[in-house]
Amino acid sequence: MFNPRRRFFLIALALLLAAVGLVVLGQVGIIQPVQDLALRGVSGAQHTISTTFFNVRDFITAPRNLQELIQRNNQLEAQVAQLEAELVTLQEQASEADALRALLGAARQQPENRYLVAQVIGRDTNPFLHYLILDEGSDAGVRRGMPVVNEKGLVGRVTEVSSTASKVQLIIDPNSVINARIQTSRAEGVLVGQSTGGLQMIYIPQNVTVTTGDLVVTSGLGGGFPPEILIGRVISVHKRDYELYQTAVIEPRNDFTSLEMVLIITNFEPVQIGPLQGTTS
Amino acid sequence: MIWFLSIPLLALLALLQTTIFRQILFLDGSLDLLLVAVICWSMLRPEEGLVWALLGGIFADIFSGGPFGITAIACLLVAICIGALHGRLWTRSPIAVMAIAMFGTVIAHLASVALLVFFGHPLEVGYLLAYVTLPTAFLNTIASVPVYLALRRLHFVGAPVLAEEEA
Repeated sequence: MFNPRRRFFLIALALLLAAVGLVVLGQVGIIQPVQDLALRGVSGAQHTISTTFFNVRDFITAPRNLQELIQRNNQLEAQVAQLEAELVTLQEQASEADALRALLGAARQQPENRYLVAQVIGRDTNPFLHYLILDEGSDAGVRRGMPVVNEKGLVGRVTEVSSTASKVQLIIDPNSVINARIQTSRAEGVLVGQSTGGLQMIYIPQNVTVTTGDLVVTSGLGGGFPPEILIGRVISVHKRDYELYQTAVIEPRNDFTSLEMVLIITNFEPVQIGPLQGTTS
Repeated sequence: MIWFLSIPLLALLALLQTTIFRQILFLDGSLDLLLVAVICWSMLRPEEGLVWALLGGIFADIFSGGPFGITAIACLLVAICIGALHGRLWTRSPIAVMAIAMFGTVIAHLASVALLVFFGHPLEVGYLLAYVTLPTAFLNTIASVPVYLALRRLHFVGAPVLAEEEA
């Protein structure tokens, strides 16, 4: 009926229209339940694969412990295979215990918050976006908008939740916007994520002195995050007399490429100020 | 193609993408095995490559925080470009496979960036192309030949007549 080339382009057009339809359905929110269902179905496998990956990575990137393994290998040739396996498990448990101890320390600093420990089981498949997938979802009480922290400070906020997993938008995502404050001068501004993986603080009033090394914390304005959560420090300031505001480049305290465990603040309810503005967001 | 194989294979590749490959960064880029598989299958079977692109993109979008469907559109555009060139390029050469994988990655990333910007994501395109797209294209180019050879075997299993013709 059609020649092969024409048939190919007709199929291409049909599938392209189907994909555009998916985008539209996704924007309306119809796809969300299906996406949640799929995420719930694979979160167990994701957990297993990512845990195995972390174990292998920790084993490979621990040269000091590897040396210990080699020494033990010489001493106990007969038991070497068993000891290696044992050591890898212990190393993983020790690093997990270290991470939990650090998280516990962070949790004790703000005892008014209730925390839920979650493991990172995936990252955004789109390289231009900065999202994490965690192994805890609505079954564990996770809700959309909950802040996510670790021992170093703010990590991000929960944007999507299925029953067994949740997606977290990192503070360095280009679409992330946080009301923040410079700790020393109490100057407030807005912290936006950068494509480069950094942070920029904008709308800092001109009359405030901002210096390199100043710490930046959440301000709590807008009700999206609790106040006084550490974010990072100022590494450069851009101030021009003819501009209304000054801007600062912020170095986040967290290294977002190596996050394995995080804390979700479960007793924080983000304030919805949309109705107060007369529009819904 | 053995149709029932494509869905679990693409789902597995998406799962490996989110759990492993996106954790191993080269600059800010990472190997995108799912995209490489779509590109290679489009070279072998253009029409099925379109379906792989749509399915693979949907699987990838499940693990993404961005607007649903944009990876599917980006992959489809790559599959359409490759399908349009099918028969005009000698795709059995390893050099051709690598070149198509490289340009395919660049096209997919350009489409993805354009769609994200359209949906209001403020992206620094120059930085992303230099630190994300180029490293990813490099890694995908390297991976393309073994992936192509593996999928070519699958292609012949599904169509022994083609194998005889090409032999």
